Amino acid sequence: MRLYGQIMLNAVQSGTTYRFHTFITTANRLVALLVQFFLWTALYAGASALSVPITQVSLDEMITYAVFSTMISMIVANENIETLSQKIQTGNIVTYLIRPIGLFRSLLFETLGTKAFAALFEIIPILVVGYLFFSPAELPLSNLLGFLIALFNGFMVYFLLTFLVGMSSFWYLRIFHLSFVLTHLINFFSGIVIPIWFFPKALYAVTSWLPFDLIYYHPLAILLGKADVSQTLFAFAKGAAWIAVLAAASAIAWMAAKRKVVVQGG
Amino acid sequence: MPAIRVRNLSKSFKRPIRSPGMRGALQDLLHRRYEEKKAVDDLSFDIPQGEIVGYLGPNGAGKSTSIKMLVGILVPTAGDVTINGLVPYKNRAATAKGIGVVFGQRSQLWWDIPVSETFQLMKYMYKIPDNRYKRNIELFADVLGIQEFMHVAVRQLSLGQRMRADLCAALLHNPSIVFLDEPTIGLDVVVKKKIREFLLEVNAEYQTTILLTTHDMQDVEKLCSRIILINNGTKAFDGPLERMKTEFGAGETLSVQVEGAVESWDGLRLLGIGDYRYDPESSTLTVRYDKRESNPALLLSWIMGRTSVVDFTVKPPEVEDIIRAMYTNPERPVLQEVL
Repeated sequence: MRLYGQIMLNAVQSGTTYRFHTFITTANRLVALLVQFFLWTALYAGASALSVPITQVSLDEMITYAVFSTMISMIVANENIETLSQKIQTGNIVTYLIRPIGLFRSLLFETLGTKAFAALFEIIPILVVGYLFFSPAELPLSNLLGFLIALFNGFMVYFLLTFLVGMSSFWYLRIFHLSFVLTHLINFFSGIVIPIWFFPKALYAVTSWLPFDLIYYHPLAILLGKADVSQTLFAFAKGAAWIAVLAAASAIAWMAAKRKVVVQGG
Repeated sequence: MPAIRVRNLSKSFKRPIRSPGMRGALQDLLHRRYEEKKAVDDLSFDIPQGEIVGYLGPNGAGKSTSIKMLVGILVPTAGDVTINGLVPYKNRAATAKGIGVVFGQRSQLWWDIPVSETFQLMKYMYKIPDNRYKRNIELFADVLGIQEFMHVAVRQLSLGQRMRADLCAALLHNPSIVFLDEPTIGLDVVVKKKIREFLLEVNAEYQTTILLTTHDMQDVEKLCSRIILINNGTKAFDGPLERMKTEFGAGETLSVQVEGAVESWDGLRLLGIGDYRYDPESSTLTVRYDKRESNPALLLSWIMGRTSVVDFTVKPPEVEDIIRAMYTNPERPVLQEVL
């Protein structure tokens, strides 16, 4: 256990090296949040709430959705794809492979370490600014536990998806196209900007079969109290099932990759 | 049980054949053809515990590929490897606990943070007990001279400092076998010397088996008791360094400074000498000959019969010369050490 603590600690320390990067990233998120704030305000055009087939959503709730979606994007973000493809392309992947711990766990705890750092310098500032300037809706604390469980599922789903795409480097070397595909699928199907409840019925049905809404939509719907008990439990079950499927896929891909490893550059 | 056991090890890669030009590029895009490249071909050897073995061969001979199979990174196409009784690619994590690996060209240190933090990480990763960790850090830091940059971020280290730190990190857990792939590449003589002293000390103290590849013949002379030479993926020589010298290193060099120039040295050919050079500037004649066919006394008397000699030296064969001869004369009979 001390090992994983040390990996996280090292990642935190690495994070502190690039203060400028941290500052700009946070500023970037704030600008994006501001854009969403004005967008939703304009879309509501003075109305305080909109009725959609599934639920009723007030402007305040939509702004809360935007604030917390920004926060989730910071929590789930990881560098699996860049790290793996870069290390595989240069052959530096060997430095991971000579260690007595697995690649997956190394990356997972490095990511968790960067999260601990991000929590202090990126996530909390966003929440503070969000609450000071955008006056989001009040949230019942009772939803917090469900939100955290769904958030954990979302984190793992995104982590596994990026791990799989990153590992495809073993076969294709350059994978920015796959990375693009994943980003666009997530932007469209996850509810990162537009909540699924605004989707037409057919699209909504498609989305419910895909893993992407586990990352943003479900945690946010639970947090805002838009999911009843059965929907919440469905989200948990769907999360667990997708994590199992993606973890199995990662394990199979890893087994295949080991036979495929070609160390680039001697 | 030998520390390292290799039997009939082979590895081949498929690599795309690139056709030249724009037309070729388009053709390749639609229909890619592959050729099979055998990097390692039917390699066998045993290395007992505590031996320091120089693993030599020209660039592209298959040294790195075979080391990567030995440490469990690559899966062999055919043949067997056992490291401390384990099959590395099947038990990668278990094998990794008992070995230390350094790739001279790549660092396993954490780039943005001080060296000491990577050492801490190694402590937990290999579950090194407190007292052993402390003792090793003290010993290693002392021999390698790491103390002065222990708390500097890795990206700010010089190549020599980084290399020393990498070695230290790889050996902190007292691995019984250490694989070093060009550990002295690009380093200055002082650092090279430190690293050699360190390896000898570790080997003496812990009976560590060391397999190292290098292109530095000083490394070979100072460290290795045994040489395995591979070329084109197969073993070309396996035996003690001394035997390599006597069997392959029969060539000696005689340098003679003479007073008056001689019109032609071609008479040396009659003595069976083909390799000679006269430098008029320093009036020095350099003769290379095979010890089994000629000797310095014979040559000197021939030269003294034609001019007067100011000074002369006889140089025994350098390992470097031997290796060069072995690399460039693949048709020479291949010697096999019968164990």
